[in-house]
Amino acid sequence: MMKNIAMKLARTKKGLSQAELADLVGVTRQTIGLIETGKYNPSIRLCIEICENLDVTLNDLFWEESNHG
Amino acid sequence: MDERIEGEQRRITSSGFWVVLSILSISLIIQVNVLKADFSQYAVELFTIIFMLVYVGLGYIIKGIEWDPKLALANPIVFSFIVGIGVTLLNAMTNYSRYTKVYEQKGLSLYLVVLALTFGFAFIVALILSISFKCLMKWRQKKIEQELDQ
Repeated sequence: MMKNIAMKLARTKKGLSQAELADLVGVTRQTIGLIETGKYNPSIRLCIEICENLDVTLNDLFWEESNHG
Repeated sequence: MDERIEGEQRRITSSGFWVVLSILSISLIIQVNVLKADFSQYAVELFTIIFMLVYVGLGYIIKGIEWDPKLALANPIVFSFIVGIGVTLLNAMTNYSRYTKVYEQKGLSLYLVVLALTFGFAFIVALILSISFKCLMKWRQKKIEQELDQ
C-alpha cells in the first residue's frame, strides 16, 4: 500500500496533529498514523469521517492515480 | 470503538479459538490413546470440541458463508476420505493396544478387517454429515438470494 501523503498534507493544513484528528473521528492516534503510512486500509465510513473533518473530498485523499491513470 | 482495534481483537480471538480447539483435541487423543482414560474423564473435552465445531458450522450456515469450492476439503468425498483415514489411524492405535493378545491369537487379518470397517463407517458418517452441511448451505444461500431480490 502507498503512503497517504495527501491525508498528511490535509491534516497539517488544517493545523491538526494525528492525535487531534484521531479524537475527532473516534479512532486511536495509531490508526491515523497507520493510514497515513499506508499500512492500514480504512473502511469507507472512516474515510468519509476523516474527509468531513479535514474539509476535503474522498477523491482528494483516497483516489490513487497510479491505479486509475 | 476504533474499527482497526475491533478488527485486531477479532483476529486475536479467532486465533485463540483455534489454539484452544487444537489443545483440546490433542488432550483428547492423549487421554484416549496413551492414558487409556475412561469416557467419564474425557467426556467434557469431547463434548466441548463437538459444541465448538457445531457452533462454528451453524454460524457459517446462518451467515451464508460458503467454503471456497476450489478447496479440496470442500469436496465431501475428499473430506470424508481424510476423516476416515484420521479416525482409522486413531482407532488403530487404541484397538491394537487394547486387544493385542486377541490379534496375536487370531492373526493380523482380523485387525485389518477391523480397520477396514472403521474406515468404511467413518467415511460414510463423514460423507452424510458433509453432504447434509452442503445441502443446508445451499438452502441458506437460496434464502439470502430471495431476501436480496425482494
